[in-house]
Amino acid sequence: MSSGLQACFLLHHKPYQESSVLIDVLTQNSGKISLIAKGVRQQKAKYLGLLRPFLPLNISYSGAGELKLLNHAEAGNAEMILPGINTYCGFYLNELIRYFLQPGEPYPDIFLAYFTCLQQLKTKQPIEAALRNFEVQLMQALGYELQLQYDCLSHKPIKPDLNYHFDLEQGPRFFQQGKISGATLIAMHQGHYTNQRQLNEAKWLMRQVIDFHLQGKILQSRRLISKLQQRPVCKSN
Amino acid sequence: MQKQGLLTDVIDALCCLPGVGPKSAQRMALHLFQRDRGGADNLAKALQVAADKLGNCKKCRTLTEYELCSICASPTRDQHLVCVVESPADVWVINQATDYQGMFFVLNGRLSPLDGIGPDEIGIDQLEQQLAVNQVTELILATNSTVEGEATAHFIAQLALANHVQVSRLAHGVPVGGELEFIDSSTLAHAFSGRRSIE
Repeated sequence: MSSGLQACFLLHHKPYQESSVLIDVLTQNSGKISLIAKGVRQQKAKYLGLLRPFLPLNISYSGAGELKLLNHAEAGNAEMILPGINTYCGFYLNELIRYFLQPGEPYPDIFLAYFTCLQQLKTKQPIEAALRNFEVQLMQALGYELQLQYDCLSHKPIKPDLNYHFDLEQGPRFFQQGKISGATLIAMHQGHYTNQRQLNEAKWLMRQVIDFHLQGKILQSRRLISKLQQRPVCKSN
Repeated sequence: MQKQGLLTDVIDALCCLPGVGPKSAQRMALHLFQRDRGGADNLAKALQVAADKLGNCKKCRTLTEYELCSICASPTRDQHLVCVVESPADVWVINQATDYQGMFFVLNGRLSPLDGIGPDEIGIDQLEQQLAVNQVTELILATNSTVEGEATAHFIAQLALANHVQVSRLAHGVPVGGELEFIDSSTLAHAFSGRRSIE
């Protein structure tokens, strides 16, 4: 079975045998796929330099099993060159997708969210909001949607000036000493953050949510980013 | 061909080399024992000695049997210049292709979070110590031109700037003898943005 050209991003690549590469890609219509790209590490290979993360690609592949064969690859639109520490944030997105997505299941929403997030990472603007929006959209597309609109006990709409405790399975409930403000929950729902406090609280909450679903697995890129942040030269994200 | 015995052991052992499958390994083994016994002896001795003694240079982390490799031990090399590369093979090619007379630092890898490789695994602490002793005036970043290589270069650059060391990165551009029409678009874009004025 051979497919037509399909838009995708490379998530991870690993050398295989003398001149081949095993790659994981996120495609627009078929979700996450593992492919073998034969002969691409030779000096005169057709795709030399093309199979790399964050570059929009159009590929075609064939094969019926879990590991497909890459038939053709060409570069898509403008390249995503991520400046500085944003590269590590890009690795973080890739690791999340590699871990959470089941192979072969289509997730067009995640592809779109990933593309949007990369475009924001490409600029030198603050990127925390972009990362949080991606995380919320990822959880939503996977079926772990966060309930951010109503108090899970009283079923009243969230009020911006109250504090809430967030139960990872049920949702927010009013609690005076809660760590999350109503304004943050509303900002997360709307994807629009107005101050640093909201961003910090959203970061804390999404970390809890993601760790809960990771079931004990450690995200290496997060470990690396926190190591980078320990050094005074890198700014926080 | 018999399935066990010394010859089969040799063939299996040869298969660990990159690009050598069972067929090539069999050809090599037969050649060594049918036609070139002396060669087999030399190979065995050289491998045994190297496997026992080869280690990493204390200063630049390249492969050597001594405490300091020949480059680090050389008194004629410029101690103020350090070129950071990903693998010992890069040291060889740079030495062959250029007239570079400075020192090297071999990372033996690159930052790659998805493979679990962080700053500790590539000897960043050791490099930082060398930068801190104030002898280095310029750090040349010659990591590969891949996303991981660039991420590594960026990280080391920040480190060097914090230690007030001048940093430079290898240029990306049109290969010598290359024609613009046949160059891939991202290389051309790099070459274009990195153009320099003619003096």
